[in-house]
Parts: sequence; structure tokens; C-alpha cells
Amino acid sequence: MNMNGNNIQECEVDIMKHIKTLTDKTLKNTMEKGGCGECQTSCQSACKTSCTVGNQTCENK
Amino acid sequence: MVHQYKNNGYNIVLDVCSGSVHVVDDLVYDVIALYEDNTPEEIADKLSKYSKEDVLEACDEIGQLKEAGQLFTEDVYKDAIVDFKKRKTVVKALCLHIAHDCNLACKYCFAGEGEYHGDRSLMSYEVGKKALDFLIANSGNRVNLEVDFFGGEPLMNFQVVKDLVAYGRSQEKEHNKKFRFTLTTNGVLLDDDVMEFANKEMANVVLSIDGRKEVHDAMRPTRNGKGSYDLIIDKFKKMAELRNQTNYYVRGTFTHHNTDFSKDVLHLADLGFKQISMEPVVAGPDMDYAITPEDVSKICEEYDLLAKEMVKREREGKGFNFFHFMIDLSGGPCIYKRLSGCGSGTEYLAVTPWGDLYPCHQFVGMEDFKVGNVDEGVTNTEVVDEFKLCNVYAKPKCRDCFARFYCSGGCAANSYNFHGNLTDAYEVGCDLEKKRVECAIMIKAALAEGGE
Repeated sequence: MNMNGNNIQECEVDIMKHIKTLTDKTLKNTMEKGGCGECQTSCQSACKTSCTVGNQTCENK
Repeated sequence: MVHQYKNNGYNIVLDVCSGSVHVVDDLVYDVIALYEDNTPEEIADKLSKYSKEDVLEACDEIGQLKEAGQLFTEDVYKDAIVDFKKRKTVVKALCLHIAHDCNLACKYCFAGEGEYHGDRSLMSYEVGKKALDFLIANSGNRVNLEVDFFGGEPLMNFQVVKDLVAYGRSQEKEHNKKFRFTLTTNGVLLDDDVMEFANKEMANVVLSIDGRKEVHDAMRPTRNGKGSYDLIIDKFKKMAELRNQTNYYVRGTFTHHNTDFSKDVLHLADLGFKQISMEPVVAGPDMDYAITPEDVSKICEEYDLLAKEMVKREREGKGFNFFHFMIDLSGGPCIYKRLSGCGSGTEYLAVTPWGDLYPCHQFVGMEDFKVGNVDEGVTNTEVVDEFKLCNVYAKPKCRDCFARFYCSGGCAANSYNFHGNLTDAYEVGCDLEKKRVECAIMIKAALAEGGE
């Protein structure tokens, strides 16, 4: 686990000579199963004066 | 849309609409900038410092990623937001203003020293109970419900906090709900009893501290004008340890007076805190402590410094978590969440001590934004609909921004306070958010590479 609680092994293995892909997950794939709304509300964590949605974790188990 | 940038020696390419992130060499970095508007031969001509063979090889790799939907993808979400917004929203989070009163007199408090520009007031158990009932009744089939005990200083009304937690727990089974309670406190009244209770019941605790003693004391004095750092620091350390250095944040605010705020973050890290949040103050330009547009470049440098130091410490086994650099590249929120933002005014409401409902804590006290109360529920649907339609495509400044799926259009209160409407954006906030996203991705790139 890294400092942000995410597993570094999520990163893709480098198969290209010039490009290393950190994540090949596409947001488009979340269109089908997303929108359940169980995830945390962003302002309830540690901000209260800004919007930081991108760091939330999906809770659609 | 592709966003490419260099940071800390890394060439980073973010494919905005897919969320894919690539770290590339100089060759590909230069080729990508020309790829969409030129043939490979034209690119080779323009980039004569590279051999034609290398350029064609780079084009081939870029082409593969494009083919795989990981580069130069189109924004296909605009239609989805229309359908999404037609759906009935439910309330799943409340910010309970358990006390409109405070034992500190922080100079930057948007609540006007805790009182929200009104009378001092404490929430009664009856009002709080109705708020929880309202939440349960309006949460549809959502299981996880969030309730933040906020203020002012919520520990000035601690008995009601305890009683409401007990009431919430008593309702969970019957209604198939799970309450996640959180507490935001300045620490003055934190004692062993509060810690024990909070560590049993609170999913997260936010401990307010601004960093270095002199910085903290200058902005967070007590009511008699003395600094509050010494009153809280040992208690916060103890609290963090009791929570095993997880599920809490020490959270600070930096201002125009400490744009070298990386020192404050590192001060907290050096004290042993592992979960740290430090936010730019939000204040009108008439305040001497407000962040100015001229501060932005210095603050961005500070984010770079902090990001580099975090990578270094992580590699040394001394890492810590900085809230604004958290980014989950593979398991982050779905596109619907990213489009609709924080949920203020729809999924998230603030409750005043006397039971009025507002779109969020920052709107409390603005009469035009009152959406209802805990007795009658949401009655001002006009305001709620306005918030419901708040999304990245409703905001002209966000439509072409590379960070739009990370900040989701930014803070509605900031937009309103600086521009008088909900669909604008607070430019200073935008500049800083973009920098934070860049730093967060750089950290991922650096750590994926391993130690050096």
C-alpha cells in the first residue's frame, strides 16, 4: 500500500518502449454500473471549503 | 482531450475523458503534442531532433493507445448527465450545526467566530433527532448515511452529540441504514471521555490545526486573544495515536500570511501525524489574509515542494497522507459522481441549531438559500433544482478544463461568493486545484517507478 492507501500493483506493466501506462481503467466503463450513490460525500471528510471529488473511493461492491 | 505536463522530471500525459494516465519519454511527449493535427511524416519533419524511425515508432505506440481508448478519447458523458439529473435524488449526508458558538475566535472563520452571523445557539436533542429522522426518511435505499457534527465548536454541546449518536444507532437495524458519524473539532474541549467516545463512534475525526505554532496562534486565538496551539497539540497527538494514525485528519487553513504552507504541513508530519489536510483560506479580497491572484505562483511552487518531499519520505518509509494529493487512479468515483460534484443542495444538506435546512454549511445564514426545515422537509424546490442542475457541463469555465473530472466543477459556495451565481468558478481555487491534481498524479508516477 502506498501513502494514499491505494495499491501500487494496480499500475499496468510497461509493455511499450516509450510509454508507461499508470492506469488503463477508463471512466467510460463506469457509465454502466455507476451512480449507486453509496460513496462518501466529499465535504464530509476533510475539506469543507473546496471540492475534491476525484480522491473519493468507489463503494459499489 | 489530452493534458500533458512535466513535473519533477516526469513527462505525464493525462487522457482527460478516459482518465488514463501515461508516463512518457521526451520523444513521445513531443509527438503527442502534434499527433492529432499532423501525419507521422509531418511530425518527423517538425521534430528533426529525433530520427524519423523513432518518431514513427512513437506514433505507432500512441496509435495503439488511441485504438485502445486510452488516448485522445472523446467526451461521451454530456448526454449521460441529462438522464442522471432527471433521476430522483436522495439525501444521504447531513452537516449538523450542533453549536453556533465557539470557544475560539479564528480570524478567517466563515461562520463569523462560530455564530454564522446570527445569535449564538445550541442544537437541542429534539431538533437533532428530527434531522436524523428526516435523513432516514429521505435517503431512499441508500445504506450508508453520513452525519457530521459541525459548528461552531460541536464539543460545546457534547451531550447532544452523544445522545444523537445513540439515537442514530438505535434506528440503524430497523431502517437498514448505517450511520457514519464524523466530528470536526478545534480540540479545546477534547478530553479522555470525548476521545473514548469519538474513537468508538466516529468514522472520522477532523482536528483543526494550522501547522507551526506561530502560524496557528496568529489566526486561531482564544476569545481572550491568546494562542490556542499549546491547548490542543498534545491532545491531538494522543487522539491520532489512539486512532492508530488512521480515520482522522489534522486539518489546517493557510492564508496569504503563510503561503509557505508546506512548512506547516511538514511541521505536522514531523510531529508524527499521518493524515494531514491543509486548505487555502476562502475569503473576499477585502480581507488582509485572503489569497490573492499574485499568491498563486508561490502556492503552486509550495505544492511542488511538498509533493517532492512526500515522495522522498515515502521512499524512506516515513510517508504521510496529504488529503489534497489523494487520487485513486483505478478505483476512484464513477463518472456520475464526477459529473455531479459534492452533492450540496441535493444529497448533502446542512442543518442549523433551530432545524433549518441549507444546501451546505457555507450557505448557512443566507436566507435566500434556505431550502426547508426538519419539520416540513425540503420545501424550496426551486433552490434544490438549481443545485441539482449544477454539474461540470453547466459551468462554461469547466467544459474544457482538464481537471473537470477531479474537482467536478468545484465548490458552489465559492462560485456564489465570488461571482454571485452557482455555475461560475472561483479562479484562484481552480488554479490551485489543477496544480494539486498534477502533483497527485506525479506522486503516483514516482512511486510506481520505485525507489531511486
